[in-house]
Amino acid sequence: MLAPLSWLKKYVEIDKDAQTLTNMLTMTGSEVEGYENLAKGLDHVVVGKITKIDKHPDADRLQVCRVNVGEEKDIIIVTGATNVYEGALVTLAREGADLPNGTKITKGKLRGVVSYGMMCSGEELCIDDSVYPGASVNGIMLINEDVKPGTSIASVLGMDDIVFDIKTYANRPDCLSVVGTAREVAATLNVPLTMPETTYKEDTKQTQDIVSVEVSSPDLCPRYMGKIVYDIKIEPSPKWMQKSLAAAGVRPINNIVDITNYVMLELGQPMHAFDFKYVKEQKIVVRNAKNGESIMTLDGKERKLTEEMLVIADAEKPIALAGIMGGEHSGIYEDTNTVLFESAIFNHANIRMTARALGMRTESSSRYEKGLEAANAELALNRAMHLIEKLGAGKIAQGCADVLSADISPRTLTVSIKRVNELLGLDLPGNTMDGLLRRLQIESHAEGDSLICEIPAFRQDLQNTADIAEEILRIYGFDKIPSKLPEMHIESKGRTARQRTNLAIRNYMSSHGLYEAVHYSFMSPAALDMLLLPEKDELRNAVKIINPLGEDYSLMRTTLMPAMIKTIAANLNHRIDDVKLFELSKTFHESNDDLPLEVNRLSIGVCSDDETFFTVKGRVESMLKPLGLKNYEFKRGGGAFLHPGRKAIMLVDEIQVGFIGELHPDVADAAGIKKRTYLAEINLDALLEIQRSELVVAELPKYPSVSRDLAVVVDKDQPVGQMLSVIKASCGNLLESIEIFDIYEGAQVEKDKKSVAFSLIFRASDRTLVDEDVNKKFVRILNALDKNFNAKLRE
Amino acid sequence: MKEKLDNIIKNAQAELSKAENTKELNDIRQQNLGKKGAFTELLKSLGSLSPDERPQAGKIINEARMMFENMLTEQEKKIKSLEKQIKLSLETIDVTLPGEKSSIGSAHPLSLVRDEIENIFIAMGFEIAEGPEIELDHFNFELLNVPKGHPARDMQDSFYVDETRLLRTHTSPVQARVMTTQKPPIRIICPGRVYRFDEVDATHSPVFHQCEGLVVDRGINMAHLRGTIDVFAKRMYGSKVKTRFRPSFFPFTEPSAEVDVSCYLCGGEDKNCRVCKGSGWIEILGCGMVNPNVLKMCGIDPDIYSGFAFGMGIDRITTSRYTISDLRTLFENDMRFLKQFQGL
Repeated sequence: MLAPLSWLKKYVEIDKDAQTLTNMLTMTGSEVEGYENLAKGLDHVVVGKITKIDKHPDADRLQVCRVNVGEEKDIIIVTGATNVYEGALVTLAREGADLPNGTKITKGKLRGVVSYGMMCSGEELCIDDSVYPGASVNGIMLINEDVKPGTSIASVLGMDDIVFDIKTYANRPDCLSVVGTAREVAATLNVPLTMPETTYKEDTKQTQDIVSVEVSSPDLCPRYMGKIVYDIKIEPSPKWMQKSLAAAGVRPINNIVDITNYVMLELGQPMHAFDFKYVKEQKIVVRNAKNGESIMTLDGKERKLTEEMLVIADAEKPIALAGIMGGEHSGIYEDTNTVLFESAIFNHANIRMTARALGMRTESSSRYEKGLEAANAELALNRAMHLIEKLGAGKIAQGCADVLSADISPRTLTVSIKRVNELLGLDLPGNTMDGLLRRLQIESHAEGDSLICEIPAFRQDLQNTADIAEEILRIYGFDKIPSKLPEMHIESKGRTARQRTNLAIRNYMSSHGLYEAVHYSFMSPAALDMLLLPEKDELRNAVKIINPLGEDYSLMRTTLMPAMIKTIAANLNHRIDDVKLFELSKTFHESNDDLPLEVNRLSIGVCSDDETFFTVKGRVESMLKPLGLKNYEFKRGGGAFLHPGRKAIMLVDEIQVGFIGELHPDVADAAGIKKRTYLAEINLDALLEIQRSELVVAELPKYPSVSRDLAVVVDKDQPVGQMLSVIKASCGNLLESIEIFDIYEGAQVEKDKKSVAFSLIFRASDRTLVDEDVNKKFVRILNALDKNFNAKLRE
Repeated sequence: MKEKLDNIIKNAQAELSKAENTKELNDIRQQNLGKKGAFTELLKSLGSLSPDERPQAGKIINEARMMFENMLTEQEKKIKSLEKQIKLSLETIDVTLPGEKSSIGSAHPLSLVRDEIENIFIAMGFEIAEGPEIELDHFNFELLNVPKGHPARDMQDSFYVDETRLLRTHTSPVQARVMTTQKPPIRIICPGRVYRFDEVDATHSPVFHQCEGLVVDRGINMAHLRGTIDVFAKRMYGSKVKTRFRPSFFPFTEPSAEVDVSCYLCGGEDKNCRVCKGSGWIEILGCGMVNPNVLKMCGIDPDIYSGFAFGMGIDRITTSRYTISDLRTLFENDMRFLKQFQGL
């Protein structure tokens, strides 16, 4: 909301500078986003009257002017301009001026004659004919009205003003007006508020004889007021009105349109003026649009309407889009003679819906959307009529059409003084509260513990004790709230197991060389194709956003992979050769429940010379160990986007909870990745389901261990990981540890075979092992390996 | 005899003082104490003395031998220490060479800030509540006093999944969920990811992170809100900062306030401060007393209980803390950016 200082001063006395006022308003709840001094750059620029022109003694092209600047002595100005003459009123920048175009004015000699300033052109002030007639002239800007020499140019141009930009909150539609803002200023400064005048005289004709108004959708239009003005003379509005409108950001058009806009800005009630000769059968019908109807709005665009939209129609067709914009046809032009002034209230949600559906947002709709108050419509209509009379714009018909279904009876709200204090943590007496509320035009009085408040019509937002408490507090001062800690009546359990696990995983990954990445939760449908997912793959069961920012952001991600791959590619693109990332984030999956399934996942993506499938796997395994998670296994397998020979799925109780693998070269190519890249993704929620084993510390060994090596020959494709499990199972607890120390393929073994060598350590907790014990185990191991893997002892 | 011993000692002394290493020392030991050493020879010659002379002669030989051994030990010490010095000096390294890179990464700055916020509130007895990111309109808006068509819905244009489900526009629906399922006293924070319909640019992101807090109990008032926020501000920004409460509007709180902290960097002294831009204040969060309508809708009797709520933007705190000028940097995951947080 733009509120010019000069306009505010019509209703409230302001003796503070702009910054002080800004600070004070901020602390009482009007957020001033900024203010602009319209006269910026026009300091020391005044109107001068040329009293005498002499030739420059040493320069043919220069003239020496004596200029009256409203002071006792004229000053000397040297100029090269040719459009000046004795008696002319000129625009004069005096010493010290710092013009809008950057020119700084100082006293200076021009060919030996001292000039005490400079006459300027419109261009030098950054203005043209649209701001001041004649400003675009090639030469000095001449003042074509009777102004006293010495008058500041800012006041001649109507630019001696400061415009505040004030944020209005959704609950305060009344502040979307100059008077509403003035009310807040008055409360803040604790000074009286003067309301604008609303009296006028009516002529002979009767509004009701001229127009009939019917509201067929009263729920969408709680009040419709209309008043006829006739014998209208269309002309520009007076300068004061034009200046006010322009300062508030609205372009002046003509007296009638300007009055509707002026009243809207002043009182917050949008108004509309219809050229009455285009209202068929002199009938106004407020109704829902019919399917297939359309209207050409004032901006020259054809708008297709639907049944939910509210229109103002005549006997035949819509002539305005209610509360948003008028129709082009019934607009106010030179030949308008009779006007119907509309001051109406429309349903805020409906206006909002229509404005959005049509992609229109006007000064009018943005006010209606916040919910306007029915009593204000009458005030605004009267104010408009007062201005019609003041401007001599036409004759005002008697009476008005007023279709009212809203309740506009005065409302009182009684609150408990004790409760208000309890809520605020204060101890204010009732009469103090009363005094604070009065500053906001809320009359109230205390009776015992009750504070009875008469709620003004423009404060429909005040509905309960908390609302009144806030009004009291913001005038009393938010900064006077004391600072106390609430008593502890609760036993806090800190983080949950899941939260602790998440934290532990993040700590583990970040302390083992990986950097945490954060991506948007969106995913492109193309990303799923890039992953070569089959048509019915469950990762395609994504939640769709119906109004996405774009195709790339149209799905909620079902996997963290696409973002990870894209980020790796982007990093490689920047010639970064060690990309090591992980992410902890949610994926989303359509389900039959009320809400989609949300799953917490860990993803890893590395692309660096020192990373392999096994460095990634090693991190995953070591991460799980301190969490007490042991009950999982890896098997060959995984998505089509992974290297067919280098991918594994992670299983818990036969259910897949994750995968590790190398990015498939084809997918890497498509993504622009030219190095081996290793990926992993793990469902953390599923991990939490796993039975955790508590750590039980083993006693330190009392008896010596026995080390043995074992080498077997098996087919090349036998999984060594499973061989390890089989060995462990066949040894029981005598086997203390087992390591693989060599895997060999080549000349020393048969073709398509490999030799695998293990190093085993045996130990018993209750005795010293003898060869016999170990030999027995060895026989069992060899039998088991033979049975399961057709493994033979390497000779 | 005496003469001989004096000679031996004299010779040994001269040789010992020349000895430079353990080997030479051992040679000298051998020459004197070995099987054919000077002392051994002398002792052997005792047999040729008369029994009367022997004790006396034995005594002086042993005294001389003790003297020699002491000298030897003395010299040995010197040499050992010298040798150690040489050894250590040969082992000298260039300590100014850079250390070996340790394989360590980092948490994301958003996580760092989030953890810090969580830890402050956990220490004040809060628990961490979580909720779905795809949320029902009912929890995201309706229960928070933002019915359909309410102008406040404009403040947070939303991504919709269908008519009833949307990407949550704030973490407040978690509060609504907790209030509808738990009885007071309630003391929670709800950190998490939220979504708003904003085109991506340097200061806007369709995805960002918030942390909300909620306390509901008997007798909770505005002073408790202030006390809690004051503690948070001091832990987060340093014990010197002051808070400033100014009126604001949120549909789910009444009264509502916006909280600024005095600039933790310049304290309002620097007109060109990179953190506060010269204003002296940094806006950190919005808060207020839970609107009685919200309590009622969530099944809590506003005549018995009252509460306060607050909410802050984690992304904004992060960018301001690390002076990150472009919000997009947080989501681009450029290693050159992330590596600056190594070890954190």
